[in-house]
Amino acid sequence: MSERRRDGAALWLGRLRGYLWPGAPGLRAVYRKEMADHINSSRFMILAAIVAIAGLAAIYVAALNIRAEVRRTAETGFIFLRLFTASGGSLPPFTSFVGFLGPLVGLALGFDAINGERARGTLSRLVAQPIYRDSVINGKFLAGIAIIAMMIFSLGLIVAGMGLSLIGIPPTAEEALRILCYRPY
Amino acid sequence: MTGNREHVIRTENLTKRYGQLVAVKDLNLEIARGEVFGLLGPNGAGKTTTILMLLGLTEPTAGSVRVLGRDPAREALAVKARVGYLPEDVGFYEHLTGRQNLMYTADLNGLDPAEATRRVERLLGQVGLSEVADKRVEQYSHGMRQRLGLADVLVKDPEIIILDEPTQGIDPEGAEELLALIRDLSRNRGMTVLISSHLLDQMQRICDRVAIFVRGEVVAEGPIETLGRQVMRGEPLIVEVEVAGPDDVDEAARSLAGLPEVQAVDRSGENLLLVRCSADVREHIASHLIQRGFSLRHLRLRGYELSDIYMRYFRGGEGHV
Repeated sequence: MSERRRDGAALWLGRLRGYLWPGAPGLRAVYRKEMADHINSSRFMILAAIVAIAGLAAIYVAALNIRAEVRRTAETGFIFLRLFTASGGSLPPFTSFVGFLGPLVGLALGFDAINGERARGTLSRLVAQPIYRDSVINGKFLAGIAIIAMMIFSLGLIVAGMGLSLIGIPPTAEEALRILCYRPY
Repeated sequence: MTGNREHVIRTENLTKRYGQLVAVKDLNLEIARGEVFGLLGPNGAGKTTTILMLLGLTEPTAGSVRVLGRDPAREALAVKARVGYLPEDVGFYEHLTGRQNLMYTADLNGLDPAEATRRVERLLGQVGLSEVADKRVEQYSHGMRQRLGLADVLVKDPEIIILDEPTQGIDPEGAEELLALIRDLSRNRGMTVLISSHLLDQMQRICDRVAIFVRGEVVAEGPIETLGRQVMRGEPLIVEVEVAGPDDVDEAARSLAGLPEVQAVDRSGENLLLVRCSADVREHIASHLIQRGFSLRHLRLRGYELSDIYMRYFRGGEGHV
């Protein structure tokens, strides 16, 4: 009796696992392929370059104006963080750039995800494989999310390093934590 | 091959309607394991719709489908794991190499990498693409793409392969190679093959049985030899007769016209006579001509080629989109 129950539990666990990420048929395969495609595509390179230029420019301008900014607001805390949030007058701050360009990159990467497969004639081949149709959509979605997350995260680290060398004020532990919390968002 | 073979594909009164248009009507098919079955018909006859229903890619309006004993609309994954499908106008990821395209399919089928590598290597050799395996697909010719498509279908090691117009748009030599590969799969690997095509001469060469589709209905089905009799029942037979000497031809024609069962004699070309008769009277014709001193060179009962059947039905099929 208990043995049978254990078998039943194992069966259900297996099924549950089957619907979740690592086992859902095809999800991992689609994810890996889409990831590789994005990284190798010139489209992604161009988008990443645009975002990087915007981010670096925003931080550079903010770093140049940080002294005036601190004096103006008469607030001496979180100076390092203000590199990301202060606008340098002529340019919007890093956070608005990322908030604006991030979704745009998402659109640019994803708008022809399914349509492109159809146009190339690969969709009919794909849906004839033993995978859930959801896996195709979910895999592509996850790959897009992951690639944008990586892009924003590494850009954040680069500009933080640049800001550090420009203003010479290291972030406090609290500031570092706050930056990390902001990133996933 | 016993008479009691397992039917791997079976449809009962399968029907598909798109609004007013009936794409497939009351289709009853039974395809046995190891058979090469041809779906023959003009464009728009419902071949592709039938194939999509067999794969569970579209749901039937009425009737039932069983593929390997399962309902493809309900157990799509189980069916797709054992059935390979080569769509019409198959596409590949152009920026990937042929090998990478196949590896992706292997990955989608859950093969482990070592097994996938071995299998892809073997299949590339089998379809003759080993040398270009690491070139991007954008450099492939149409024939190479079709062969890559066949390899792609075989990656999952299927029990049934379904090919939609596989020789469409390839040159005759390429088509011949592809057909040889398909025939080989059926003979040596025991695979069941379902091919749709409108190219009857190719079907005639590789199919064990064909079904002729016109406007969503099967008008004839069976082994090609019996198909002619089945369809052309009641039509007059034609016997080709050739006698030596052009001067004798007219005389022979007049003489033959008086025989029983002979309805008409037409002259065709230099020496050939086409004798239209209501029964097979070849013996009578031969003895008649020889007794009268003609030298008989050629005598043949014109079989009903698939083209006769095809033309007859397809002429009716024209004007229908």
